[in-house]
Amino acid sequence: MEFDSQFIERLIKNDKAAQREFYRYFSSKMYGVCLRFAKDVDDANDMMQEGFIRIFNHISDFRGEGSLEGWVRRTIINTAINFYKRKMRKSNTVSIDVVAERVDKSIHIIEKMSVDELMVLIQELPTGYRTVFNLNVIEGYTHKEIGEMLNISENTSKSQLSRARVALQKKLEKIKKREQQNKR
Amino acid sequence: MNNNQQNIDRIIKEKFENFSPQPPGFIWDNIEANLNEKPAVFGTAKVRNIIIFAVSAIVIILLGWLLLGNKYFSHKNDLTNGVVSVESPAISGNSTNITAEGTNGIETEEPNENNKPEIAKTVSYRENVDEKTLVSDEKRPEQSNFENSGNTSENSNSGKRQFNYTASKGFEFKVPTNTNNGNFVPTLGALLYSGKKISICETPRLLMPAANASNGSSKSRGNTISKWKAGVFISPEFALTTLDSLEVLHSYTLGVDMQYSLSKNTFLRFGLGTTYSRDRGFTAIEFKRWDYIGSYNDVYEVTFDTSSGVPVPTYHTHKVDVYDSIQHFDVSETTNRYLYMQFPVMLGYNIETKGRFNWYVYGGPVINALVYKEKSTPELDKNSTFLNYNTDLYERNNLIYQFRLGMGFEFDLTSKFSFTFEPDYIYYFNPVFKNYYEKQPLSTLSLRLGFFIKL
Repeated sequence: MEFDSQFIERLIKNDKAAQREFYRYFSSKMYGVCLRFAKDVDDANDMMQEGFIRIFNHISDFRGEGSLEGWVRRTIINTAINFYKRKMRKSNTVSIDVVAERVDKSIHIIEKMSVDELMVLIQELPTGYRTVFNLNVIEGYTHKEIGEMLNISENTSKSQLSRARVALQKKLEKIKKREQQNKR
Repeated sequence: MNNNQQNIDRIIKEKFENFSPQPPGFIWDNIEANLNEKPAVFGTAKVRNIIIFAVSAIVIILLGWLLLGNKYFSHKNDLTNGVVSVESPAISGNSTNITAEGTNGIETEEPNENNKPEIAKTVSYRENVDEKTLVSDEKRPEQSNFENSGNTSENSNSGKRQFNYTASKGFEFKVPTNTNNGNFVPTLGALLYSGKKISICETPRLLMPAANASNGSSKSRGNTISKWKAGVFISPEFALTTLDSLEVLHSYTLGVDMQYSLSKNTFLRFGLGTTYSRDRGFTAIEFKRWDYIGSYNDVYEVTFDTSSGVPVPTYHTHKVDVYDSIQHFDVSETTNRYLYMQFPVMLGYNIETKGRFNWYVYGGPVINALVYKEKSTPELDKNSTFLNYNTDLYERNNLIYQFRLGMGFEFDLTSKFSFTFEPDYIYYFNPVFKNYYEKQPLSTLSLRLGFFIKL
């Protein structure tokens, strides 16, 4: 579907039909993004709602440079990051023990997993790990960009990603063991 | 990164590429309801701040209006732009002069002792000097001849008399005289301006000889309205803006202000203050700690009991605790503290003086320069080793520019001292925090309490 400048104008003028059409087109894709960044469905719903309200209120900021989907996606991701930051403020302390890094060959397990199963694994990651993992591995942002977005150093972003991977591998190991036990 | 890892990343990315679950229907309902509530035009932070600023200003002014119920609150004419001179023809060899001047001197004419009971000698009003001198003899002029071809009228009641003058330039003078007292001086509260009318009505509080007024000095014998005031203020300040990743806590300012009266109603205020500000946020810290992992029973001896013919082993153990260096990631609340020197320059306008109360509005820029800061970092116990930390608690800028708009209530405790209460709105021109991703300017509300001494 093409969203031309006339359609954007309608959105700027708060045209309800245009807003509904816009939401219908992007909602599924963006909900997927929200689910990946959120720790559970409730948080994803909140992110989604907040993100689209922000999009409709700031649609006039879209200058037509680059794709509209890219802009929408970026807005949703920014909303998710701010959501995570607010959560950080509200929760007094979050302690995450880090296990020693180990290289694991879990590739075949991941291949066999469904997206929903993989989603559960990602959602179980600590918020900081999950955010960096999503931004780097799935969204394709560099560590420098992530550092700027989250206001952390490039090295911290790298180490967060590394720990996210270790945590994922550990979970995959458990799944692998469970599968082996089931086979016996 | 090894190939295996790259492959895992690629597979995960591919799996999520087409992941498009259907969101629950209520999300759109909530979005639609929210959009209906708030039109997009009010969505931007800039517009919101302008609205807050305007509403605050209106509320402050209206509050003052309601609290003091000033029925005379109106715009004043600038007398410095025109000179109106009113003269009455000489009666029995004397004359009456009514002079309204800008910043010029006072024109007076000493009464002739012989004719004093019969003649209104001189009525003078001088603008922009501290003494507002209006001197009149007992008798009003029976006939007047005005330079500006104005009209006169006369009122008399309760032993007080006044005459009005409406000049062709649009000025009107209401000059009351007190039959019991030949001389009177109107105070600030007695000078009422209404549209193009100027009324000087009865407030015969201060007696002042015309001779004193004519020297143009701001001080006169026994009756002084000083141009300078010095004040001490303390003001808690409350943030109106909410930021995402940190919390701006209340700040406190202690300041000394000097105030100079530029004219009857306007004043200039400047000063020096110290502001103590705090921000609270969260800091993530990575550290290693020598932690207790668990324990096990260590067998230090095995004995066998052969009394039953079968050797039965007995294991003698002792508990051994196991510790290891564990890496932790911890987020804790931290507070940064700052001390700023504050340099305000305010321009103010006295709206009304009523008895011992005075109320005014003021506004102007304030510069804040950082003199001290204390960045807080999470503390580690002796068993921990610091590795790395990052924080959402952004640092403040060294220079912060504000605009302050406020209203003040002053209550005269004595002739020298007064107590003031000044609620004001503060708008920050530049971002308060360095490198903060949200560029929205900060707004705060401050309540200034202090004392003034007239110098």
